[in-house]
Amino acid sequence: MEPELWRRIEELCQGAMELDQSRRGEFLERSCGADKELRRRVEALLAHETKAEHFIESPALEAEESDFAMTSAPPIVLTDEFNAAAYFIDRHIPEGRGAKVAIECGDIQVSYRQLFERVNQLGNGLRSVGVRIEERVFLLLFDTPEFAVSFFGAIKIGAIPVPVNTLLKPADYAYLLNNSRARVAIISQSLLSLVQAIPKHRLRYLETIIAVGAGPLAGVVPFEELTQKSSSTLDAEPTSKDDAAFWLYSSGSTGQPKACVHLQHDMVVSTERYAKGILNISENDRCFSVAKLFFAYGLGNGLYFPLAVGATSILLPGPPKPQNVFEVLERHRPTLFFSVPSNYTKLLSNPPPDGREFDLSSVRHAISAGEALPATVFHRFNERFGVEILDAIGSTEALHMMISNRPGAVRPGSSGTIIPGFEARIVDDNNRTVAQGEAGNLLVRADSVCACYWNQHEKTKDTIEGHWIRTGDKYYQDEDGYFWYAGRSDDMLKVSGMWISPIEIEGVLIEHPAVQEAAVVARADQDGLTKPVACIVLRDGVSGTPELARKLQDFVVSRLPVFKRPHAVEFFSEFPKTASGKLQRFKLRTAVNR
Amino acid sequence: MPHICLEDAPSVCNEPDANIVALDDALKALAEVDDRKSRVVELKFFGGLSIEETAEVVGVSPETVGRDWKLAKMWLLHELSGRN
Repeated sequence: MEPELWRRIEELCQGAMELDQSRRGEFLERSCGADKELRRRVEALLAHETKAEHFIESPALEAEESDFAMTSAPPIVLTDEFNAAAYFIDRHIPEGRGAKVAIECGDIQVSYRQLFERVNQLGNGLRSVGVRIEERVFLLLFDTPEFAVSFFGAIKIGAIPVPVNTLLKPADYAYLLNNSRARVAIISQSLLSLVQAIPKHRLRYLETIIAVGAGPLAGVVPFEELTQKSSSTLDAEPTSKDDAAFWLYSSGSTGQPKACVHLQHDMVVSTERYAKGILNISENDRCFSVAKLFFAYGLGNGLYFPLAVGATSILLPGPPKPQNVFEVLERHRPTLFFSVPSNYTKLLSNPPPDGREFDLSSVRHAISAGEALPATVFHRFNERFGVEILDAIGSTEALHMMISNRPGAVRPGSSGTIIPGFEARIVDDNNRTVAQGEAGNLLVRADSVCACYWNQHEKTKDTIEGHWIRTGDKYYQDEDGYFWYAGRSDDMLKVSGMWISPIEIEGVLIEHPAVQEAAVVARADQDGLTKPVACIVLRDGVSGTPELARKLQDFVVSRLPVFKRPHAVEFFSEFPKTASGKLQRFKLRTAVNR
Repeated sequence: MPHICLEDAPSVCNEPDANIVALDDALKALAEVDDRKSRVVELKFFGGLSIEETAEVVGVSPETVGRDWKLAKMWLLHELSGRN
């Protein structure tokens, strides 16, 4: 090949790779003109772009024999000195992605170079207000680029960002601030009052508040001012791959939240095993997560998955109401769409606008987690939008997914199969592996599991056993290895000597056209024996009558064995839920046992 | 970063059946088209050097090595797919 021709091909390839897929055709049309052979050669090379990312090696990773067994996937071995910010942020500059868009948020676009520089500025800014290695930095932030900057800025200096739920009350923040002992908090301006409402004497450690989006305010440091005056040059703290990197609070339905201490290598493991292993994420992807970044699920979906591969994250700071979600889907055209079952249901209840259907044609995979996705929701979504939802199960402790459905091999209603590289066991209460098809406690072995719960030694020992973690979920496995959710360990009901899965009965009840939401909880009868009670929120315009209650009981019996028939049906206007939208079963149990 | 010798090289490939001989042939073909990119692959893949280390040896910026590395891998994949 003539050197001049190769130079031209190279130049056009580089130019095209700077652009989104949608703009490349126009670029090549303009650049190649009538030279069809030139265009053919350029397109032939570009066709290998995605595969090339994983070809020969994964950057910063060296695979070699591991000293512990992981199944069906190459082991992940990081260098002992490892800082996650260098991997997820810095690496993109020498790899030539500086001009590529890392984050889109409304009309704002942040390139990888801008993100790199702002992370450095924030890291230096945090040092200037006294933050040191291993100290927690409290993040009470909406999903905006400042979240990404704060999270990785803290990690880069070896400090430990602690993103927290934005939907809590001042008393909750007082607990979290004191529990984490953060001296510095970065807070979105409109959430400031929630922390400022806490009497100062109740905050034992907090010294400095950095406010995002705020002008000069007494007692706070404006985020923009702090970053702008700080240097954009910063060397990553030489942390170990096993240093604490960030905390995430696990929102139990009972008791105070527990901080899961995640390590520098955990995000890499989740990315390699799930995002690359199952979703085949690449630089060309555009990720949009309905689950917010402060959730373990959202943090991967909307932040470190796309940043691991040089893809683009699309952030929505506001509430994920159906109209907002559809607007983002149509305007920003994500390729990977992450949501939760209740949100998928809400999207489905929105009729097509103006006689046309919402355009989800950009989405190559929709993903669901947080709670089991009913098979009916999978089918309705697939029929309406032509997109399969890949249901999966993960946890804050495991950081992200552990078991997942695969593209093209979904078994609706199941959580899928174990992710290659992880292992799973289902055991009885005596830790004996149960027979196939029998429900038991799910244990998972994954190297993304947190090191411990902060200052919760007993709970840590109850949950993490060596390489294995007790998920607290009941599961059974079918003959093909698919895992089926059977409720939380403490939600299972034993009725007349038989285990009953509330989830299974709820799955039937929500298929009834009158039912909006269903939850099955235990009530003790006059003999003290456990009986299942169906709690129902009806669809708008439907009245809860004794006749409808009977019909619902008959509906369950028409689909399930008679012993699974709810002994009673009670109607509710709404269910008690946590700030993050999780059903509080214990409150329902209290209500039906009054 | 520990260096990787030639014998270990297949173990860092995510495609276990990748043919190291074919890759070497393709690399020679790349050298005829673009010697610098071929050298970047040799140093990074066979030599186990980082982007920064490769940049220092080749005498270009790390950004250039990053771009070369990416395009070279696309070129090699194209060449190997043609041979198959």
